[in-house]
Amino acid sequence: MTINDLPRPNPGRAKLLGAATLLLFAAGSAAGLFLVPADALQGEVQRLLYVHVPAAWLAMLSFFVVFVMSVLYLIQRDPKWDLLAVSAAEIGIVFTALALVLGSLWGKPTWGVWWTWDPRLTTTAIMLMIYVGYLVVRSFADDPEKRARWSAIIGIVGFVDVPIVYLSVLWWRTLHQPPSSPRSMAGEFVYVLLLNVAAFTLLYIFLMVRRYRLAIAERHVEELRLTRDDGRIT
Amino acid sequence: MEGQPSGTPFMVAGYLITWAVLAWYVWRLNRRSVDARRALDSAQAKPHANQESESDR
Amino acid sequence: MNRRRVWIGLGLVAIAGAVILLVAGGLRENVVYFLTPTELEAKGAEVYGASLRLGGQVKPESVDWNPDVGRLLFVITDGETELPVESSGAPPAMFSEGMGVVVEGSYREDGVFRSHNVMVKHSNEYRPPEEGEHPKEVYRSLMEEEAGG
Repeated sequence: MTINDLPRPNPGRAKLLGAATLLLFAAGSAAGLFLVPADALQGEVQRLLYVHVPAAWLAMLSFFVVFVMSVLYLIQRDPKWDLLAVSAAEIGIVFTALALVLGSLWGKPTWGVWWTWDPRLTTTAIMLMIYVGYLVVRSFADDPEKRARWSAIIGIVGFVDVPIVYLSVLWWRTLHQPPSSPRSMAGEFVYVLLLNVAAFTLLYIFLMVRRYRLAIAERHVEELRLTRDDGRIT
Repeated sequence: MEGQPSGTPFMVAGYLITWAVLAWYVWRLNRRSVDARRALDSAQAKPHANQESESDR
Repeated sequence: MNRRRVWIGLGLVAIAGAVILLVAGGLRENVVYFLTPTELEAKGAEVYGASLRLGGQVKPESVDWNPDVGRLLFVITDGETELPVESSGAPPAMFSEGMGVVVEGSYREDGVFRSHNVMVKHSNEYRPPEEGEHPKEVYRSLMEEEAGG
């Protein structure tokens, strides 16, 4: 399997996906901001839940995709798994950073601090470092095959931290509250959260399509440069 | 205690940052895609262009 | 050849799983973000002056906030042990009686926990305000009473 066998995406369908994503995302934000009342105890700031939780969910989903693609790459050595893995890693970094920023904005008026080294926050920061490291390692590797192999190993071993991030609030004493559930939230809040989770998940698919297409294009460019440079050396 | 900040500005800032970051990322992906396609086109146009590649820079 | 790769993949997954179990298992025992009042009292003289975190609930009717000198006194409890906490500066807006808190500071020989940072630990429960209930104002009136009284 070589890079030239990779499929060419269909731009028409991507446009439809983009429009649907934008629509659902706007509906989610509007519902979170205007449809439901603010929390009785926290007031307006609790509306951050509707973007903070979906962002954290996408971060973990992304890194799970990196893990699966990395395993598939090591088994099949098909470059498409590597390109899907790097696409998911980059998107995961964006949403991890977003979740951290939103959490910080939520923490200051409720907890009283922007940041504290509690197990949830610390393991999340480690998660961000792992995947930034993943991209840094990739940028140093000149040989595409070696790059794919090494980053697949990081993608598998690095995933160790992801379930720990989720379980941290259950395993250890933290300042961060445990995960919300339909039992801990009013019904209308649950629906708005689910709407936003759906909107973010659709956004994830949209971003993956775009990022994967970019990865294929960049890989083609690299391949052409490599063969051209080889020609020059000999 | 009346001087305590209300949480509303934090909430508004959070939503604005979310939209801004996501819009920025989509914009970046578009830019990078355009650049990659351009590089691909120029590389394919002269696959054996050992001499011309110097003038690319 | 392909079978070897499958084994390498499975091996890596197994290693990752083992690391999860070992690291997390070890951390589970050792990571302590804050001590409870009972644990702190048990350590006693051992930890006098050491910088640490203490977590528990604000004991109802124990809050004494003096806005003139910016001093906050309250009792922190885990249902078993109660410890007095002294802090400077206004607490976060959500600080109230019965609320979970984590305080940073040190335990003094006089049995008072001197805190420089009070953090409020809120729950994962969210609900709309009931008829006639206004978010925040509940808290505000409570604290004004405290300040006045």
